[in-house]
Amino acid sequence: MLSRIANNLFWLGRYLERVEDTARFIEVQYYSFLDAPFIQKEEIALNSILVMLGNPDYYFSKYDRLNEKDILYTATLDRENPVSIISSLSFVRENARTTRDILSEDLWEAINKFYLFLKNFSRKKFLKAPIELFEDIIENCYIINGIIDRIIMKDIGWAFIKLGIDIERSAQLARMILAKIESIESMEKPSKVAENFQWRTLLESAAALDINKAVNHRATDKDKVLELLTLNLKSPRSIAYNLQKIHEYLMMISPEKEEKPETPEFTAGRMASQLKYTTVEDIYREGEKEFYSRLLSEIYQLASKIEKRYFVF
Amino acid sequence: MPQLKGTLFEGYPVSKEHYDEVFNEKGGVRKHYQKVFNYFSKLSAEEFIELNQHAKISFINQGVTFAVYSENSEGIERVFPFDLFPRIITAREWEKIEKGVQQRVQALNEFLWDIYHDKKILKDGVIPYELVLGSKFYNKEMIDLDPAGRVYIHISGTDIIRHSDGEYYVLEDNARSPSGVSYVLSNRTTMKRTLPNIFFHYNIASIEDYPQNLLAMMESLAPEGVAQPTCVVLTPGIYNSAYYEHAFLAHNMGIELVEGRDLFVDRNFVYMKTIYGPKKVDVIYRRIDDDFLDPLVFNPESLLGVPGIMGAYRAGNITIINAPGTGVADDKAVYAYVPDIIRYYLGEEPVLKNVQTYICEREEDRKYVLENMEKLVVKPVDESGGYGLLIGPKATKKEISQYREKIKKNPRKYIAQPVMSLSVHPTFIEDTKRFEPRHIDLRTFFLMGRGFTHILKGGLTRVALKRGSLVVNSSQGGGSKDTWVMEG
Amino acid sequence: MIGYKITYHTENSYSQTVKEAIFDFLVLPADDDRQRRLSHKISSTLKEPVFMYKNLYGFDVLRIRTSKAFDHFEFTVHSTVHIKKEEERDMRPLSIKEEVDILTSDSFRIDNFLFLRKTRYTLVSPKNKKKFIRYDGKKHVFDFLLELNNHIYNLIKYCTLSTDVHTIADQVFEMEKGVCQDYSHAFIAVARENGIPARYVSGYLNQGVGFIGDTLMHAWVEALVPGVGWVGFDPTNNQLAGENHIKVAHGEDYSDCAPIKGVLKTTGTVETKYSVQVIQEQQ
Repeated sequence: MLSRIANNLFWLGRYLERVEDTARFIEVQYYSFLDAPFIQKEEIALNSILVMLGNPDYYFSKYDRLNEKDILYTATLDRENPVSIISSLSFVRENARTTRDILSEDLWEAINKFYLFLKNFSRKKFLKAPIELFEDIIENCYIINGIIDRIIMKDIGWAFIKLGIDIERSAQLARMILAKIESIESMEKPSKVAENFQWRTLLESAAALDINKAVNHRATDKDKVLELLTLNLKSPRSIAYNLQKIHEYLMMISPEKEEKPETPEFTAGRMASQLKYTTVEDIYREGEKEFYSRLLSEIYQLASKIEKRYFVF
Repeated sequence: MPQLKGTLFEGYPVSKEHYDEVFNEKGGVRKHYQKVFNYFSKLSAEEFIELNQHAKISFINQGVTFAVYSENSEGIERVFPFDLFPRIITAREWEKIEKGVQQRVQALNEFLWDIYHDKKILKDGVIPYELVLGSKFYNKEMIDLDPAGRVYIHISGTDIIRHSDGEYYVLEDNARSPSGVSYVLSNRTTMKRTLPNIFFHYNIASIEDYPQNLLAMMESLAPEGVAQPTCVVLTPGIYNSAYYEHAFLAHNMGIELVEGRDLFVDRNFVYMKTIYGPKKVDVIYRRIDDDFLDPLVFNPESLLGVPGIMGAYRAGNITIINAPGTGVADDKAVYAYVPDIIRYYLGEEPVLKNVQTYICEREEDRKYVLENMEKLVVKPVDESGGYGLLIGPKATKKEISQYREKIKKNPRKYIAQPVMSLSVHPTFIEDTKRFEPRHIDLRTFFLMGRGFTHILKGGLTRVALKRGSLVVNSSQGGGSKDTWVMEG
Repeated sequence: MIGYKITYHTENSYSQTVKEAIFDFLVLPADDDRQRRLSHKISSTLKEPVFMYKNLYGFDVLRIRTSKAFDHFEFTVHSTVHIKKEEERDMRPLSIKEEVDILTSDSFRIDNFLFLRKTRYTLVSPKNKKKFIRYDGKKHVFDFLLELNNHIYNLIKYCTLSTDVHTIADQVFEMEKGVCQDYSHAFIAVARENGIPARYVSGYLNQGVGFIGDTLMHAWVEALVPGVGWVGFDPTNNQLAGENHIKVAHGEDYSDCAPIKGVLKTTGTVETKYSVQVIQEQQ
């Protein structure tokens, strides 16, 4: 397979996951805070959206102050904002377009349809009922993921898409947890209720609320949330689970039969195994912020290892 | 006389000035068309339109669409107009076409070898040397270079028309990556899906093996010492209007479709960048122009090409299909000399006729052209796709006088030919819900490798859909028909 | 016989990291009947092997390709070369009529077409062609070429600031200023206009003996004298090319002889420095 094609498939996966994660994060942040049990909630919510997007400078280059409508628009439909949902989706489409003869036509059509739908969505219509659009976006992502899992031949091309999706998801999980830790730190003496509320929204943003119900039954607290989103090997919404999958895909892709040190598959395997034998206590011992920062940078290093191994000459 | 009343052919005017492929001068149906004619004359307009709809869907399902992508366009997929009434060529007529095409391409191939080596034909004064060596397509990088198997024109698309005298004439030789073959193959698939029954009545030549032959041709030209060559198709990318064809051919040959950035040259060998490392490439079917092929040699601004590829080519480590510099052979000014070229190299008389051509660079010819513009078709020698030409009988006085100035200013750039009357063929017109005569031509596809030749038995019959129009190019509102060559 | 030690050195700094690059250097002294290249040594800051191949005209090109990121690049070539003592050649072995017959024959014009045709660099507008001199067929071609050499030398004022590598002959005749490259293109334009094949030559000049040139590469011309062959003229110095001229390559014009060509993947700009050193070996 050509490196360029593999690279495009990988990024197709990454951007697709980014579209879904961004949509869910904004939706949850914004709407859950409407009934949050503490003050200054709007500012916190809006700020966290900007932080999640990662380029607050762009927003402030266009607007003077935090404003609900402007932030929602910037994060979702602003084509000039390189990290908006529509921009990520257009990258999904760009990457899919060059690989059309390799992908199934269904996948291309679903992506193209989704893109056209979002592109033609007016600011006015969106701001009237933002929640509906976020739900439509998430639903469309489910459809595309369904095609990826059930229609496409499970060959190396497929493995590169899945690799992209899961790398992105792992990184986004780590980033969300990190952002949440910082956000709680910034609150002045948060009550237990307020803090647990924050952790609950995190679960929601990670689409892990239902899983949490099944696993933890009762109200959420920090330990349980960190455990669930980081270490649980049965939850597709945990970093450990995704790293295991990443390792599987890399083994599928690798031409070598054995894992050699310094290869991406070796690195991914080591990261997955380490997480498998990590406890929440270990996380606290290292320091939560330190732990997740390290994990995030290791995930990025893994991504760049994959890039060096398969995409560049 | 067939009964036309009440059929889709009602009111069909049988032309006196053009050759009608289906009807003879007396209005009778030519024998080889009889069964197809019977089939279509039994259909109602509604039935036919429904079939047409089926055909369209078949094209869409095959993905045979063209879409112009750009930042703002969303790639609206369009289908090339296709007419269900097939064009049929008898075995006897085809034999002549095949011989004629082969003869022409072989002679032009010899010509290319000669002008890039000894230049005998120029020294013997058969063709003015300025015309050849001064052509913008004469590529000095090709001087004294010996391409694999001495083949330059691996894929050619000779365009043929039938004049009112019933004879076939060659209109132009396309020696630089002619396009359109994907439509030929898809047209046949669509016909089979839409009208399977009518195939039972005819024994026609199969064309489905074209991609295999294309690959066999490429493999026959592997560089010295390469037993199992890696072949690729090189495309300018998804924004190119013929991208569909590039992907189609690569897919059907089972080889990689690459862009310039997927390839690199190291120590005069060409490699493609794969996930498992560099893989050596031996034969490249490139669909990018000479000028963009190697930014180190030709156009430094080109991002489409492969820097260093000409060095690898000169070293004999890669075969480029078609060879660079073949544009001299299909230059419209050189066209006038093709009969002489055939006689010079093959010692044979041309099988297919050439259209009388006036070369504006010659004083005598120019004088005639300037005085008779309203009777002539004037073409720029270095344009293709029907751009920039003047059709004398259809032009206004003002257009003619403006064009006259253009010729005077730059005579080397123009040639002129009498207006050839392209034959007509019944074609279904949606507006009138009837068959009407429309002008057609034929693009043939001929492959030449090392000890290997293949002609696609059929071709692309292009239809000028506008009433009275002589321009059949797809970029100018043309459509196409399935083309049947009868066997035995 | 004269021996030279020649050093070509270039340094390139890029404002943005280069991700992939391919360079062709046409800087090695040619190895032909007139001169022998005895040795050469290449050093490069890119950790890549250097590959040598022959260009269209048979001259050795040094090629480097890398896909390892870099933002600075130095390249040095040391070579030693021996120039043969110029033999006395009879520059007028044919009668004037024989010379003219050869020049005007189709087969001569076909064989030398490349060096007779107009190129982008040697194009001159009708207005500036008034500054050409004409060959009238009444003297030997060699004598005309000497006259042409002198004409270009006197017409053009040496000036390093008014032109660059993109300057074409028409501009040179317009401004009447330029450097060796411009003198050469001007000479070529006139020679070809008069039906005399002429080619562009790039190389090194032994600067020790008071020639005009600089610490960069030099350029001169070779013209085809019927019955003799290619003869070197240096219009910048109003001299015949001789033992002080070390040839690298020839071609239709500068574009065939550019010392460095490259295709790079980078978004930024480049700052280039280069220098040349020619040292005559002690006898």
